[in-house]
Amino acid sequence: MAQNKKSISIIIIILYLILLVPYIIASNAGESGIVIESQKMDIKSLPNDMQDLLIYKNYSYNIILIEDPATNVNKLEGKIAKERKVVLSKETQEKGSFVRIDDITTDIFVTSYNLIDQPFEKLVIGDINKAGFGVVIETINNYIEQLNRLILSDVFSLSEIITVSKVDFYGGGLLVILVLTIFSRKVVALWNIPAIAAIYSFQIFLVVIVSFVNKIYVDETTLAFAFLFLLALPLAFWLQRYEETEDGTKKIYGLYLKNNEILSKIKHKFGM
Amino acid sequence: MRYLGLFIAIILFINVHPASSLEPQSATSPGEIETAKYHQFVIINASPINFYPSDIRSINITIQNVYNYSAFGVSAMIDEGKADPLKFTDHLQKYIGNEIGPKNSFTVMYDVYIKDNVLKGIYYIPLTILWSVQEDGTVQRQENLLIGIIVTENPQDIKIDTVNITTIPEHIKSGDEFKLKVLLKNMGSSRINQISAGLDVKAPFSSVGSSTEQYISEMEPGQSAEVIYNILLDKQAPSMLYNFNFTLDFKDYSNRQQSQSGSFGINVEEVSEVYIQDITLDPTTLNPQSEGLLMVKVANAGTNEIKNVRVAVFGGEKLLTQTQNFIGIIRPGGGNSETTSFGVSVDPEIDIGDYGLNIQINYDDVNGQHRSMSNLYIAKISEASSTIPVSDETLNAIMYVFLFAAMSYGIFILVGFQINKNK
Repeated sequence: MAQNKKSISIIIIILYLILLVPYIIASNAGESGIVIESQKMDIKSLPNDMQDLLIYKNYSYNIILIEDPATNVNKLEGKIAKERKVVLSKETQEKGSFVRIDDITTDIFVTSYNLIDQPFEKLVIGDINKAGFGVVIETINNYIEQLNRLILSDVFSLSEIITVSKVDFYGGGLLVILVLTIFSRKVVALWNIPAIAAIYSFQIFLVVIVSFVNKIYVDETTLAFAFLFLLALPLAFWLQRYEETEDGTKKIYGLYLKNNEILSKIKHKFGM
Repeated sequence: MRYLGLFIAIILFINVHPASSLEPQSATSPGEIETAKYHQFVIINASPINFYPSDIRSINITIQNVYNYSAFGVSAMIDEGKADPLKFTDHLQKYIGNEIGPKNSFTVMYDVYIKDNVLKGIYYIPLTILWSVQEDGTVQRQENLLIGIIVTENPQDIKIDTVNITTIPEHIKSGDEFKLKVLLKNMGSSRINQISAGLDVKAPFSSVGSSTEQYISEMEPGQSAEVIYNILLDKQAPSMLYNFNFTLDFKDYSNRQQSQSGSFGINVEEVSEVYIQDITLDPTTLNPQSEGLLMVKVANAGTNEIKNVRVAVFGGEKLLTQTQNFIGIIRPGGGNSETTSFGVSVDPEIDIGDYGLNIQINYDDVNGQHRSMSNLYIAKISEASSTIPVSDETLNAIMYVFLFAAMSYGIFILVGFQINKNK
């Protein structure tokens, strides 16, 4: 029985970690997305006011339509869609590539220009490059397309995988801790506190790695929190063992009584 | 006695020629031809009279004896020396008949050849009618008649057309340098040579980098050729239709110099002088839920009035309360401008960032042509400034810490409660 619990726990942790990956990669590449359409473009074919936005007017540009699988936009009439961006870039990438945009000179919400015969929400002028760990997103996208072709349907999409991954990012850690706690025949345990801190810190650690690879600035507070799991995780293990001991239980109970005492005093003071 | 013989001779002469005493008297002796001093024969019809160079055709000339006496031994003759440059291919002298009675007419036919190099104009056939007033052919008369024929160019032979006139670029505005392409086609049935196509270029146009006379060595029937003129239009030229005179000089198949002229129009379009003079956003900084006004000032710096002016703003669905305003007419002149306002009401759920508004000015110019120009205006939507002097990041961090503390405290209480319950 204990062996089964251990196996299930490991499977849950692995599933949790695997599911984290798509969202962390897709949401930490800055202005990014999957290439849907790519064309060579004559600058003179652009409207004059669009040409004015280009700093390097003598270069040959590509017009690339990308879809950000991690960003939703509110369309009119309450509809929600994945954000589509038109990128004017000197470089280009193949269709299906997961790309990020570097050296952005213009990033505006624009809906009223027909630049590529498809609707889009944003116009970004910059250099398009492969996103860090983008191969993971591309592989998932390829598998989804193959699966859809196999079942002759469009049931599955990358954005749904990203959504599941996002749910895992925000709630998966708590769920893992809850399952592990229940396996130890408890509803909650004191080790849950450092474990929660450790698990979210580890997630942020992964975010920081992806951000670094994609050359995105990370502030000091986030950076500090990203390494908190190095302290919180051993603390969680120690606390888990400690609260199993008689001495630990006694001390926790003593603290609980003291807390109740303080609460009673406060209640009394406020006449409750 | 001496005069008796003369008297007898006169009596005898009167008896022998009783009718001749009533006919026009002539001083000519019998056998001589005298030019009639009266008109006995007149031309009442000649057909055809229109000829082209190199024609060989028959002309029928109908002549009537308008006199009350018959003409005898009538014949017609053409003097070749006087007929030049017309040539006749058969007998020049033709016998008509023994007697042409009073008021009778006859037709004489000649085959006329018009030489290739004959210039267009009117030429005369010198026809002489010869007859005798006496049946025995003694007293002869002649009358010189002239038949006018018209020699014109054969339209089938020489015809060059300007089949197409185009400009590059198609639309020409003041200050433009453009190419004027004239497509010529030899529509005639013969070759033409040494074609000179002259364009009369007058101010405000001037020829640049090419002559106003272009040459084509030859054009076979049905062949087309293009002449190109490089023309510069003055910057100050008003918008209107300008007329160009175009002359074609060439040599036809018989090496005669021909000239053909015509004209065509080139339309100089109005330079769009409508522009956005100013855009004012009030308030200058927009946040989610902001309300205000976007004012667009449109000016007409052209030379003509513009009508049906409409200002449309696209891409402002989450920012503006309306997308299109109608202005109407804007008269020309530096001081003439119109301002139109759009209500601003920023969607509370809007994403923070820069929004590109496509401001379009649509109008009809003086020629009734619909025109449109657009300009990108970038409106910035910023985060609403917080009433607490703490950044959003700090507030978020405080909130996470508070949540974590509350959750930790809850866990601690639950753990204590569990231990208490087990005891």
